[in-house]
Amino acid sequence: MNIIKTLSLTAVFVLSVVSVSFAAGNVLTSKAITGAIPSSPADKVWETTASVEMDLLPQIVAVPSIGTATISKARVWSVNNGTEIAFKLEWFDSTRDEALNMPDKYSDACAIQFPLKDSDKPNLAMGEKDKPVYIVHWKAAWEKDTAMGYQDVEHAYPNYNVDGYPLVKTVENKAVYPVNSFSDEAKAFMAGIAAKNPVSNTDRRVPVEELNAEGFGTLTSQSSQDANGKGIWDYAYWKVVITRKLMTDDTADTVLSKERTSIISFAVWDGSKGNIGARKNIYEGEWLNLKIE
Amino acid sequence: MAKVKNWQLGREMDFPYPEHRPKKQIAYVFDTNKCIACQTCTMACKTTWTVGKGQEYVFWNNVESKPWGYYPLGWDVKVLELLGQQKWDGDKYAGKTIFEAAPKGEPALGYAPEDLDYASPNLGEDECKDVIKGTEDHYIKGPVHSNWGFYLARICNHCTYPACVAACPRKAIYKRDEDGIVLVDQSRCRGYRECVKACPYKKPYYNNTTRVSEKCIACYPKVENSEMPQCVTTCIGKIRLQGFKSHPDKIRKNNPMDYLIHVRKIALPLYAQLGTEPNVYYIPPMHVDPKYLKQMFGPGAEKAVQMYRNAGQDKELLAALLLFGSTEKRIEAFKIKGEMTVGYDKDGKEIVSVPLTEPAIVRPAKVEQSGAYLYNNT
Repeated sequence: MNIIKTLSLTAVFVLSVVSVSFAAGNVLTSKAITGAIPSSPADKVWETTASVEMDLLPQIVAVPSIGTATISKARVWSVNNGTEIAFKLEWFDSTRDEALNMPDKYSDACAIQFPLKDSDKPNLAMGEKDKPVYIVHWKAAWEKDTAMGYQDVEHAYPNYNVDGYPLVKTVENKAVYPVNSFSDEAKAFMAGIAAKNPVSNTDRRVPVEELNAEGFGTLTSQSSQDANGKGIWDYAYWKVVITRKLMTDDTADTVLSKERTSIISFAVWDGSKGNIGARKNIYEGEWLNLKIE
Repeated sequence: MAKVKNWQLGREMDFPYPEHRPKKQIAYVFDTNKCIACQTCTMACKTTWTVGKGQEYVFWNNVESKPWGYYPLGWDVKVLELLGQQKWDGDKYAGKTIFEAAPKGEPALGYAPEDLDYASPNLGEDECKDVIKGTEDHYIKGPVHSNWGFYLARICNHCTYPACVAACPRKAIYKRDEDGIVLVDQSRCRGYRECVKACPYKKPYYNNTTRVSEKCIACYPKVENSEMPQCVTTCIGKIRLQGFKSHPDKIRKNNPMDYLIHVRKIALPLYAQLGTEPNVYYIPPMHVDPKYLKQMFGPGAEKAVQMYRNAGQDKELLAALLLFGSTEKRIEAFKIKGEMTVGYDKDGKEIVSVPLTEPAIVRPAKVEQSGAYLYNNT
């Protein structure tokens, strides 16, 4: 009993020391660390790094929108080692939504956004013409794809039966399910895959995607993917780390550097509430300042 | 929202984009009186286009038995219920469309079907009266009506004002200028399913494997080659005809589409009140409650039924109707030549001729030579 009390008191103490709430003009400081950048949200380094809490609002600028916020608060941390930078986002979500392989299921997700050019302060809502933004997007469904293999029809409906698919081998009159085993000829019957749509990528290696946009409806996946991430669902909290190099060779990536203040923004989706695309929660209406120590 | 002219409603309406009609508009006429729900069209479409992984539940073409059959479950009654009771004022629609009734922040009034809504294609098949009692042990509760039912074949309507186009935040769905066919760009779609939610006919489908939305492509490789789509040419009941229709101000009387849709007004749009200006037109069934037909096919339904009943005595109408199922090639014009109806292609070349009256040969029941009676001599 005493031990539990002591632990909970310690937890309260730690939180009160390292956490501040964002208000207008507040700064998220990316703390300088030495050694490897944390690739996991469970890494110890986060415990000694200050976090800030964000109030989230429903996206209402563009159609479609959501009437009320489905996630109202999120917490964010950042650290960097001079070469790479990591962000950790955490928010309460009692439902773990990681299916995109059913017609009525949507994935939990989060994203961070930067102006592509340092001098710009583009429209917070996905940038604007000639003022592009750079986005790193994490999805719970992609986390599951990378951890357990591409989630497909047989995972959503384990007892389903099919006679076969065109040009796909059958073993003992049963279709061979894993789509990655399909030949290119067989994949031609799956239009999204044949069209090389990035969301139809059945061989996803990282749970994040780098994108650019110049306003609503222009979101485009990058040809060169340089970011990484890791998300865990821990007692009804999503804890997600997104990492990337401060500077990359890709001109479509925002350049981040030490001793320099950038601006940044965040968005969070709750799949079970039908959140997808523009149906999302965003930080309340302003770019945040990011200081990289 | 822009103001656009919707001739099916007899008035202007709101739509997110300004009016832009394609150079040609694909159109279909389906004669519901001839459909027997054999699902040959469904299978022709399925085996041609939706056999891939992730498309197991997808039916770009389906045939459902009305009033209780649906795919997905309850699609039309759900949309109509969302819209609430609306009115026609003569030929002018006095109610709200799905765009005008859209809640704040939504592109159109709609709903997202659940996966179980797709679990039983045409649940309610052939149930037209007695099984519907509205009691606990029946899955449908509703009014018991007199004994009628009919088959409704459905594909994408390639609407003039498509709700899927209006709803796609990425502009990944487009209407082709050359023929009015509505397509989903498979490389741009990100699987948000806004189109599935907004389309009142529920004809875009989400692919569970590729995670993007797909829809009927009107067999455009065939259409580009002056042939009619698979669902049309495989129909054993010859209920379908596909062509291009003109704007009501510029109709060409010898175009079978214009003739049936605009001149005779025997082929009517499905749920025109939803406001998308659908381009699949139906000859309404003859033996169905007129109130139901008015709800489904608009104020002209009863008149169309009367006209259809009289088709045998209506030579010109018969000439147009007999072109159905007569050829795989698209008929751009038709003409009566003596006792034949003749179809022409886009170059004016004759491609088909069909007799207006099939020769009838009556054989006597008794064969004189043998003195035997024939019991089955049809």
